[in-house]
Amino acid sequence: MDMTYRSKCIVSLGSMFVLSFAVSAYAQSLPEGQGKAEFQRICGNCHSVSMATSQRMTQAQWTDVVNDMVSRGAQGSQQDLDNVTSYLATHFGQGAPPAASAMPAAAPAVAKESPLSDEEVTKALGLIKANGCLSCHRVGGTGSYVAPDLSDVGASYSAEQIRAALVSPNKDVAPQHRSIRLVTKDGKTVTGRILNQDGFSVQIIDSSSELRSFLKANLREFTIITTNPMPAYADKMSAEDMNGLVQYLSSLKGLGNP
Amino acid sequence: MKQAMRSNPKYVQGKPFAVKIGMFLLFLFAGSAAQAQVTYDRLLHADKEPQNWLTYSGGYASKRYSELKQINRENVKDLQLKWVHVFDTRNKIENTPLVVDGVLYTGDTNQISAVDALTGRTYWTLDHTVDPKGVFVLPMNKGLAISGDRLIWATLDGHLIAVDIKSGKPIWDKVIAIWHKGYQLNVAPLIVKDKVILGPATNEEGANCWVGAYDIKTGDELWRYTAIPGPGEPGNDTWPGDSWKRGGGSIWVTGSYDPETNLTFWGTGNPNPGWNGDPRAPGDNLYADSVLALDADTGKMKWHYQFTPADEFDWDSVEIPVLADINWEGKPRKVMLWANRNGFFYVLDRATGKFLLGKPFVKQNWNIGFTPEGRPIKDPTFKSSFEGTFIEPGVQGGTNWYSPSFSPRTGLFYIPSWQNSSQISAKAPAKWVEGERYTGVGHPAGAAPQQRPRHGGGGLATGGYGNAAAFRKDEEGYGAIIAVEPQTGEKKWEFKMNDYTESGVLTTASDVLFAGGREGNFFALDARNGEFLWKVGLGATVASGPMTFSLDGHQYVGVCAGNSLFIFGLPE
Repeated sequence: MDMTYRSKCIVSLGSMFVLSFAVSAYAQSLPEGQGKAEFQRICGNCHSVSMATSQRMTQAQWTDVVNDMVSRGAQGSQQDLDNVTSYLATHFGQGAPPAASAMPAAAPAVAKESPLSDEEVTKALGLIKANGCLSCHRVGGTGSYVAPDLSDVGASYSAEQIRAALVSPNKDVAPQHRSIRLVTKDGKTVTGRILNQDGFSVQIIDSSSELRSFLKANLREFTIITTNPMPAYADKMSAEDMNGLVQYLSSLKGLGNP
Repeated sequence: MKQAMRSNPKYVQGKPFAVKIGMFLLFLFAGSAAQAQVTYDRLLHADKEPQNWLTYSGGYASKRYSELKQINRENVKDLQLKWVHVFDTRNKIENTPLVVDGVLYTGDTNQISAVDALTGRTYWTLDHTVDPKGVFVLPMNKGLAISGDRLIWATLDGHLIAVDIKSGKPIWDKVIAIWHKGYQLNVAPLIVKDKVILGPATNEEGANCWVGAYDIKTGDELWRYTAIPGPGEPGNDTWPGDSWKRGGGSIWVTGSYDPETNLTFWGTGNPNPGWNGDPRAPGDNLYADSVLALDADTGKMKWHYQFTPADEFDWDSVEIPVLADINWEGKPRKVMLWANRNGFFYVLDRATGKFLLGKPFVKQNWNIGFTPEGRPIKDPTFKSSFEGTFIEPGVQGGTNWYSPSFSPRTGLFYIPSWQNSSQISAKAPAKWVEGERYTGVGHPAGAAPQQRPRHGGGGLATGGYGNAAAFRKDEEGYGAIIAVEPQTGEKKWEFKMNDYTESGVLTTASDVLFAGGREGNFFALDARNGEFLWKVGLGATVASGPMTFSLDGHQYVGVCAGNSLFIFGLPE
């Protein structure tokens, strides 16, 4: 989609501010219960608590996650950590309601002004899957990184802009979404999306969603691709489906925009 | 002294008295030689003491060239980081430090320091609180000047301060420009004889700027040449009505000095309002976008050359005048080399101002030639507009304030350049209010994102959307260090970067060239052919002019990147 898109690649003070704002906003809608405070303090110290609350897992799985987090630097007493595990298993266990209804603010978020029914969301997600969107794009934690992540597309673009991008995509992709084709000196071809480059090296996310860096001296070919691979969907779905898809995408405001 | 020693029995024990005296005098002499005061004579012959870096551009001719050659094309790859000085700011640092006899002097808008050049340990710091009410869009400071027992610091909010080099205490502090009238000081001052020469800039606030000389003993103003002439002065007729009152003509960077002619040369900034020439048309708007040749004793103008008459695209003549003695049509000639923001490389006779050559060093679409006198002939279709005009180079120019270099060994002139930069520039109505921006800048209607300004952030060397350069193709703009042959204006070689550059260039007698760029790399090239020799990633934009010095037989290279100064040297 040819859009000026707020990339999440940039770690700026601005986005950190937004993120921390988001964390506190979510906290207000967390269910009450033993371990809530520890969960907010320990887990929210490093990431949005919605990273956890958007998941549904068994007690054993949550225990593994918490242990994994401890190995990555999460800090708390054993009692604190047990409380966190218990809180997550109680409120975000496999039997708990799905994230979208339990946590209206969690990603993919639903705009308050135009709430979509579960049925509409399910239908839109079905369209996204059926039309192969996720082979390039990413929505709510699944899909490819090659094209822009759409999880907050509604925060930056109007429904009209989103519809236009689906119906008749621009011929050229916006510069920050350009893809790249590299051929290494030993003949390997790599394609992906450019994340950064300088005179000596280039950083990409490749078609297998791996972050990779290449020295330009080791490349035989370096081609920036400006054309937009996005197909036009005007004739590929019914007007009703298109409306539903546009409505759903517009409702995606991302983590930073609760 | 003798008596004092005699009165102290410690000095008369052991060795014969005469030997003791001799040793003591030797010690005294060595001590004073190591930290002698910087006299005018030393400044005149700065090239004879390459162990020091005595002025912003390394000498009066502003070649940013050093006779040091210990770091050479073979061993430059072994350079190591020796120390880092972090400034108390989040701004990018544009400072070129001075080094005098083992002490390094550096600073920014809010603080200057004297630092041990060997270890980076600070001897003293002096703070200056810039008036927080002032909104300074360009909070930068290029550097200091040194003379005798004092450093001279020009602060953003208009103070000119003389500082004791040993204690860091102010000796005098004069306000020479009133910030709320639209002025700021960014330059490293230039010391000539007993005078401190510099001028203020206006960041598009329509304040008329000047080159002024101030008494180094007191800070009192001795002469002033106002860049925008008033009624009755030559050039005032290039401004209709009273438009001259808000003409600008900023002094953004340090000038040069030619002792043979006693002329000091200064580049001037754009006319105001910068993007809309209507209030100041018709007319050339002298002496904006010009170089002024002023008598260093009196401030009288000997000659001027205007690079961009009636400019509407912010093409300040904000460059360092580089004075070189070269062969010109078979004879030695004393010239001035100048790569201008408007995309042209110029050679002028520095004694007379005679135009010798003007040739583009980047793509340009405004000029279709020169008259024999050197006046540019503008393409008649090239005009500012409210809806937007495609301009090459873009508003940031083919180069900008970044110091170029001239190596007398290679005979080449080195330019930090913005290649293939272009932009849609639009004008808007402009109304002057004191202390407010008077730009006349508009927003291009319906410009596609690719046609909007592409100069990006230029702060940290980040990836992602904040770094527009990461996604650019060469034809959409790139940075390059280019080497130009002064006699022809021909490009001899080019070293490409992906992003643009705000780095100065340093060359040395071992034919090593140092430069950097917005990518955050600092690198060394072979000055003869541009061949890559060495690099280091410093993590933030290199927006300063590199310099070099030596201590105890070891050569060092210094450069600021982001908010830090980095000093490199060879392994011990």
